[in-house]
Amino acid sequence: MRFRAKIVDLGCLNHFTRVSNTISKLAKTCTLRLSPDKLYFILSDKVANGGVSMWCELGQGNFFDEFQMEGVAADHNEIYLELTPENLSRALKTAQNAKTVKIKLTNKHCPCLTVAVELPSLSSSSRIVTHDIPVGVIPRKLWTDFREPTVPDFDVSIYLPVLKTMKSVVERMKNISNHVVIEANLKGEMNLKIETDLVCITTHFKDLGNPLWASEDASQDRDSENMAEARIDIKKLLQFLAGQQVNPTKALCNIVHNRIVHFILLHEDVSLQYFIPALS
Amino acid sequence: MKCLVTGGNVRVLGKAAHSLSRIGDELYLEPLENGLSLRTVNASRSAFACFLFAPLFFQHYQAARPPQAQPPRCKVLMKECESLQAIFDPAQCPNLLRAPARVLVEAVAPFSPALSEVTLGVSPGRRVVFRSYLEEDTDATKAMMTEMSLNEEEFQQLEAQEGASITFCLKEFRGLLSFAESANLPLNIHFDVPGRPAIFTIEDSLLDGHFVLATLSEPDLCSQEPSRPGQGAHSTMHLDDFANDDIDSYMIAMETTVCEGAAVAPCTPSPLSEEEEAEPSVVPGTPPLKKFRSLFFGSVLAPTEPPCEPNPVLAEDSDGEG
Repeated sequence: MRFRAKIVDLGCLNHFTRVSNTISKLAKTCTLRLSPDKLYFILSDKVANGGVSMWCELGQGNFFDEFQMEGVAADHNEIYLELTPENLSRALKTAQNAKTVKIKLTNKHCPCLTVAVELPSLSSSSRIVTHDIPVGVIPRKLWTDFREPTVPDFDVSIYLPVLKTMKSVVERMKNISNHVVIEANLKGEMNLKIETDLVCITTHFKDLGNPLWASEDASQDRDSENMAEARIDIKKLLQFLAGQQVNPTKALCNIVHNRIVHFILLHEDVSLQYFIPALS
Repeated sequence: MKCLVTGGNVRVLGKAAHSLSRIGDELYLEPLENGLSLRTVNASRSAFACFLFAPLFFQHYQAARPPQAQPPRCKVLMKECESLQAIFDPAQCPNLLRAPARVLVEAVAPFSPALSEVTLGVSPGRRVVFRSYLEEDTDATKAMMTEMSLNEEEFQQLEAQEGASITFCLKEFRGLLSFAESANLPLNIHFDVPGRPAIFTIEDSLLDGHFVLATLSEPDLCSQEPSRPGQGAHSTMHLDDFANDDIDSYMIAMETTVCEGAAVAPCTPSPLSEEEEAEPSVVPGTPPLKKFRSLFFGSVLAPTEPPCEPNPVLAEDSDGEG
């Protein structure tokens, strides 16, 4: 099992750093899956996460100048690692002016993801900062825990409002209530509602637009004004919104009435899916 | 005592006091013939720092009034107190490293502000290496390790054997670094074997500063990082090092046996030095104790360790107490 990769372009490095920072805000520990073409940061929906799950997928060619891996076996050419993403972010933080960044899987006192940063210096040879990030190797028999989630059979799919706006609304709501109802319809309308004994507050968003999906059989019968809703933990929603560092190219959410909210953020070369289950 | 500081030197004095405050809680002031000394020591007596400001630093400098009288010695609370003086001599340290403050500031920048101790050493290939030090109760399979390596050319002077290394408190070192950086002065690091204090100095025509920090008395880096056979004890990252990628042997081991942590080499007792300092004896075969050798009244052991026999006093109070 081997993995080595190299980034030399500063733009790619900054982009990868931003992805790492976002992931570190969404999960304390997660699974890093490496395949010849892609990297994935995965959080599976265990009880410990409060039912939240995450699937982030990157095309390696958009970030790395060199990328070589050998998985556990020829017919299972992948590597699954358990990782604390904050460590990766801290390591990348020291690479702000780097000439190169190399990442590789090593075996020091335990399996590690070693990040080696080459920094400019006034002398004839560069400064090197090396970070050894301990990782857990996930054995093949547990790989089924980390399968790509399927898009749920949603009732409504809608584009999100500007994330910054949505975040500042939810931030204020968080002080008043622990739960928020997110509801939307096929007329491009979305509401965020909180309700306490003393007060109800609703923020309305209009003209958001509804994405077209390939199979729309179920929702074609749906009355376009009919709202699908889910009541979710407000802190989890805020954590998701606060973690975003860059405006995505596309941002949408799918709501399964009273079951789950499925967020999809698409950037040029990164996609992020985040699931928040509805509370009963 | 009557001294008058004006202009930019007020700021310098303030910064010196600030960097001393990173070490200890009390500031010892003592006007001397050759200038005003500001000194401090930390609570565990494992770090000592002093600045000496020459009379020319001041617009007006008067050590005592009338001039023949005994100059007062004060702690910051303006109480009469003993004189604080550690016993150290940079000239006795065989190893010396000298660099502009800025280089050293950049060298320690990658380390987390929460990191307590750092190991500084000279690697094979004569690169200067700073490495995060993992305290004994830290789980090595969870903690991230960071290492910064610099070419010796970045140093104005490097007189040290390859393999020489010391481990000291990074937070206390940062205190002097920030002063040196603001004063734009190079910093000298005089050091000896692990366990003997390291002396950090800066100077210019108007002032000099000495920070004396205890160092861990583990003999070498081997006992800190359990290494597998075939890998060097000093983890040097060569510029194009992808040689040690092999994780397959780990995978085989993982599938067939329970992995145990590698045994840590026991700390061997250092020879006793009769003149200045003595060290509590270490039972061979026990795991290394984290001990910062005290510069003053006996050594400081980790809280869970039983106290050793009392050690000779290294620096008596000048008025005979203690």
